[in-house]
Amino acid sequence: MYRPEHAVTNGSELRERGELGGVFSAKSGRLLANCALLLVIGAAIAATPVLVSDFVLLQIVIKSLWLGIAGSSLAFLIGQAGLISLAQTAVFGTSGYLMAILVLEHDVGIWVAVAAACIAGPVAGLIIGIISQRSSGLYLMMLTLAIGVFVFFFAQQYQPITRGHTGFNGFDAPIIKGVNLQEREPLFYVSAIAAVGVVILLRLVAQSPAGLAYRGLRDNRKRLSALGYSTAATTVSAFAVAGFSAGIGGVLAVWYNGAISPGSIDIARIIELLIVVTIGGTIRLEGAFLGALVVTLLRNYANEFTNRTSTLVGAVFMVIVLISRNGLLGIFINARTKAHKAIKLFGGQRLKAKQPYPQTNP
Amino acid sequence: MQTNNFKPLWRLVTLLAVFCLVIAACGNDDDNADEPPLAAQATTAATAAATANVPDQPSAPSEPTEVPSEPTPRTQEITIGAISTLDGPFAGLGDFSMHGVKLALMEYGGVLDGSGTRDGVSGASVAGVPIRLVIEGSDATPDVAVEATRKMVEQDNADIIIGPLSGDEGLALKDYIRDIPAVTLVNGTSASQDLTLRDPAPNVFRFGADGAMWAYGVGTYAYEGLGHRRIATIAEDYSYPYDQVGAVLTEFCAAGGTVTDRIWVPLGTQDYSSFIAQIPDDVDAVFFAMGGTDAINFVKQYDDFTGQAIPLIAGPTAVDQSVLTELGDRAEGMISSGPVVDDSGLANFNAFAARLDEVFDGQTPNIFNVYYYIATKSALAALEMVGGDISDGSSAFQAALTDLRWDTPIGPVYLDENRQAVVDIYLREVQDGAQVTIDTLPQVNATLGFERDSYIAKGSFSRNNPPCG
Amino acid sequence: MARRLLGVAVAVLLAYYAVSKSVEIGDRSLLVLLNGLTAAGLYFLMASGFTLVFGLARVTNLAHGGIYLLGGYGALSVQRTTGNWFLAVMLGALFAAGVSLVLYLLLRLLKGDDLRETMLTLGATIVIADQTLATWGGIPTDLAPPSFLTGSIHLPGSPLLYPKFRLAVVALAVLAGLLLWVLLYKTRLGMLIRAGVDDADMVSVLGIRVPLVLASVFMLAGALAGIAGAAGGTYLSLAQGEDNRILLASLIVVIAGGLGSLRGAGAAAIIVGLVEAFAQTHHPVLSVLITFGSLIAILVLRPQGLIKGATHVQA
Repeated sequence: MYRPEHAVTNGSELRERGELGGVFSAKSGRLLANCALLLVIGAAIAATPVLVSDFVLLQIVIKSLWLGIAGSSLAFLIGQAGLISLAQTAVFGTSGYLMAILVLEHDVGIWVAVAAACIAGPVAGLIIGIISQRSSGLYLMMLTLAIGVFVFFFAQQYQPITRGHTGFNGFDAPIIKGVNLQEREPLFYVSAIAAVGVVILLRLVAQSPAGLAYRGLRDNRKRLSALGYSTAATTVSAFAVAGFSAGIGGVLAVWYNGAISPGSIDIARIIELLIVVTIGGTIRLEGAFLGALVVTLLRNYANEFTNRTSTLVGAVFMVIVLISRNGLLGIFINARTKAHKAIKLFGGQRLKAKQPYPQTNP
Repeated sequence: MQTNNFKPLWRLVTLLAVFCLVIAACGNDDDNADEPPLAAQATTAATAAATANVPDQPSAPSEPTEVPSEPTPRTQEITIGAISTLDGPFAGLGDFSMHGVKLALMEYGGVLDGSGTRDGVSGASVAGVPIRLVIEGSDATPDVAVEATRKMVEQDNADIIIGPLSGDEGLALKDYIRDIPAVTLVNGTSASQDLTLRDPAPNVFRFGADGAMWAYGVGTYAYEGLGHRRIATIAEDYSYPYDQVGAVLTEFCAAGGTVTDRIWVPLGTQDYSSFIAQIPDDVDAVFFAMGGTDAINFVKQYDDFTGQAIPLIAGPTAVDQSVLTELGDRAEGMISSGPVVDDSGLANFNAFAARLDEVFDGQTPNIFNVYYYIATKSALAALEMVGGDISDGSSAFQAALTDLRWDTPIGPVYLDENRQAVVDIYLREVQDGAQVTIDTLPQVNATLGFERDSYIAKGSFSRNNPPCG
Repeated sequence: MARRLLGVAVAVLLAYYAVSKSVEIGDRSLLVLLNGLTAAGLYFLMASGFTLVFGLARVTNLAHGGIYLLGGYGALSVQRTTGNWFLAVMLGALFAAGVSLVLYLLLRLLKGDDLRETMLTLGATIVIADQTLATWGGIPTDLAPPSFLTGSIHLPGSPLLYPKFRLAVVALAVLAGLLLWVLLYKTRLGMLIRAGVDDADMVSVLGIRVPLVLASVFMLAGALAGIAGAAGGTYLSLAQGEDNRILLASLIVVIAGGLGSLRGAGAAAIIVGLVEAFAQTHHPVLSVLITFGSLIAILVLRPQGLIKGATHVQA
């Protein structure tokens, strides 16, 4: 049977990888520390625009944020539900295009268009989910690739709606009560809040009973359906949830680029999203943002060391895949686990691993 | 689930975090209102202009006052950023473009840093001001082109941008560069009509022709010179071929000819056989407009399938010198119009060809190296006219560019009111693998000689515009 | 039952539509048919290797398009020095087989982790594409066909021409199919491969050195892709981006046919080739949408493709 690389066998392993609720899963005594951590994150976000140049803020940080938001939808699908979807750029593109079309072709108010785009994300996810509800594993990957490429070609060929190859230029991000989102700092804060919001939302879903069903889908489809769950309905709902964050990513990307064209969702972009998520690692949603940051940095600065940027990107990607089961995040978490074990060895107090969960796989 | 007991607390924490974020965001926003001098240089002007959305004012007088905290403008160095397609399907054309840029800089004392495409040129100077070259590549998508250009403008402080290569990249860069009046874009080979024809930007200059101008004259010649009455067209399905087909049909239909089929091939097609099968038997000629790989695939397959029983008339880039070698004998005798011919005999052209051959080891002139050379050299010439001083927000420099007239390797050039060049176009035929002149069509303008307002009112060329007959 | 009836009704309608459209263009529909078969030939050369690797090693080799390009460019270099097309194809195929072997050795490091293996091949395809750009440049180019396959022949009973080389591609694909059949059903290696597709664990328990079998299948697949690259490089062209185009096309074929099934790949290659040629002729502007739309439709109706291939893959 098909098993994603992180299909796990017992709970303590899960815990060691920080999967179950991540930092929140430990004793309640650590909550204070967690709260402090979040405050630090908040402070870091607040301080970012002061610390980095305007250019880095826009082209590295904001870009990584929206790419990470789009990537988190894929990280959610892979990490939680074991669904490798290459159709997330299709969702992303649907939302972005819808907003651009409504504003630039039909003179619809920007906020109505944004709302429509945010709804279009889960709806597109739902449709993709319905189409692919019976597939799994590598078949699902190929089916969603076909959907992703179909949407790209639709954007390129169906001119009455999409303006063909040229796409939409000159899209101005909105102004909220005098705060102009075409400026970098406001756009950064909006993107950062959106990123935090998306991660929180996806984690809430992951910790709900639905999330349990998703992991059932990932680890053992047969057992899931034996428990009375519909694998089809579970698949469809996972796609819809992921569609929401891909749609937000699409909206932010159009604000960032001021444009959308078939080139924004072509096969290179489909592959790039997969690379982002794989480099980051899928055991935690935050991996997508890490991956987005690494890819964005490579794309912007690698050509200062080499004439062959793409070879470097590809090679870095291959090395990370070869050395880590879970991308960069996996490397960090491994290192942390090892450090903890070392502490334990020297008599440090560590919480005991709980009783192992019953094995989900023989 | 074992995390259930933490749920309420978890919610509380998240709420708290978001609250912190919002507070932090607003607080910081206020702080930064006093901060702009920190983020000095071009970026300040960029954001300021973006906010104010300054209209068509190349020399906006308010501009310098918005950036008061710059006592010493960058007189020590001027940076030229060149962008072309260095990745993806058009990567080979990107190499040609950079040859042109580097040749122009070498005429101003520059020395090649190395033989790689991304290796720059150092030591060039204009009126005693050193010129620095930075090079960025795109993959022909607008998003990547804008990011690469933004990097050159903001990170490398580029004052002048040379490029881009493809049409839709040009349109995207126009929107970006319009908001930064102090930065000047001199177009490379982007041939989209609307880079300059409709809604032009004051700091965008094109010293070459657009796609429609490149195809000028061949429609009339097909009707009058070759006696064709019915033609079919086959072309890639996007804006640049629309412009070429549009220009040809505008003339051909005005002369009295008719078009039976307009076949549009989706980008990304490699096997043209089923499109070739749609070409009717009873036409006098087939006009095809394609570039790079597509041109080679199409001509080869058309030749295999029909033996060229119905003659081909080529679009300007379809038989450009950059693909002519690969087309080989199949291109012999093909008629086209375009900007570059090998037998013009112009002294500047011969000098350019000789330098190209010498510096870049056997390279020959084509649209890409010639156009990027002209763009770069125009920029350098205008810089020379203002003594290398662009400290006034480039307004004197842009004025000098606007008034610039010079004899390029492919003929005399000057700009119209939209900063679009009026150029010579050649009617040409492929003979022994070279483009040979049939006729020179002097002073072709952006409206192909038609009255301006009515020409613009006809709308952009598309799959079925212009109508014919 | 109702579903089957619906299926039959849709099939009849499509057939009626196809026939009526074909009648409209008269004997040109023969061209459409042949164009479809030529494309099918190239797709089959690609898809057969892809599907074998998948069936046996359970690797979705996304670098298959890159290997196609390497085989083609390798052949080009040989042809430029020796002028011999056949030698070029052989050495090109050998080169592609070698690269495929290296890829297999890298993949072994991952010990059968599906997703990571797929990702590794994805990384490889990026590196390969960039290296072909560095080595052979970005200007599109092609191989010259051998002299006796240059030019065209008249189709019997019509004034239409058809290029000889394209017919040769169809013949080549048929030949490859036959040889593969002989290899799989008449040789010991083939027996091992088939056994490995059915139950890899059992084969290794029997004391067979599975890695050797796997390595030979990877090399076989690489060689097929290399031959496809040389053939495609002859009647189409070699250029940046061709790797993704051909990869997408062969993925469609493999998926529609059923991953791991050679017969499925053959059937799907013909269907995809014909649908594509038909759509390009009658609905040029929307042709790509029709091709991908049909694939989606097939997968919605039959999630494991036309012919159920390597069954153990599905949960």
